[in-house]
Amino acid sequence: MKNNIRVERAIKNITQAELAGLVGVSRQTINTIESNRYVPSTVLALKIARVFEKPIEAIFMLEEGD
Amino acid sequence: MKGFNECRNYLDKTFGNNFLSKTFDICKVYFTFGKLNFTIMKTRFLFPYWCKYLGVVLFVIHVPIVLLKKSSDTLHSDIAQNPHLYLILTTLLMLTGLVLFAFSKERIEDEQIAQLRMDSLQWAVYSSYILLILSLAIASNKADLEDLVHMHVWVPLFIFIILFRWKMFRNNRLIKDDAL
Repeated sequence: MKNNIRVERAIKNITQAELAGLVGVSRQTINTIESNRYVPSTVLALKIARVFEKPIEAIFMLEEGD
Repeated sequence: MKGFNECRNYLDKTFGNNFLSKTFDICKVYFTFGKLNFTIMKTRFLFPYWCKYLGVVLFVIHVPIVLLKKSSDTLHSDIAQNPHLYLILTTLLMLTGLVLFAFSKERIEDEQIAQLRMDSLQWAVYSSYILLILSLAIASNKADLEDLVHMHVWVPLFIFIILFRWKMFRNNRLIKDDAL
């Protein structure tokens, strides 16, 4: 699964730490999601989508091998 | 749900009273509603954050007691005279310290940390039991066996703490490399 959180963050102009604070996780978690080392739970993915005010598919998408 | 009901009917038929089925209902409610805690992304059953420091303090306290005992076997101190008191002061202090340190919350607790904790716990249990089995297989006498089993009281916890701390450290270091 890949995501474009980094891009969305740049559009909204917020840092990893600010996004982490908004969804209630640690900054490390946002960092590992952005670098595709951790797949968030559905709840966390929905929360992140809510912060960016976009549907979840606009932020997280499946890859070929998934 | 079907499995639960079948099992409950079986128990009712076998024992002919409602006690077991009531117990079963309570368990069912617990397992159903207990899962709510996962959806708010919190790990259950962890000690508060300050217990980490308490754990370190308890562990540190037990070290001088052991050293004192080792260096003063001929000395007639209360602790050296009373093996029960000695056991309580060392083993219990150490174990309580390790458990508190191992299973207290992080400053910010979230689902990724919970996953790291689970991974470390699984590997700690695997490796410590493999270690125990191998060492029991090559142990030659009864004293060795007893020592090994005694050692196994703290080895799994110890491996878990090292693994978990290592994973957390690596996680924190990556973020520094990738700082924005």
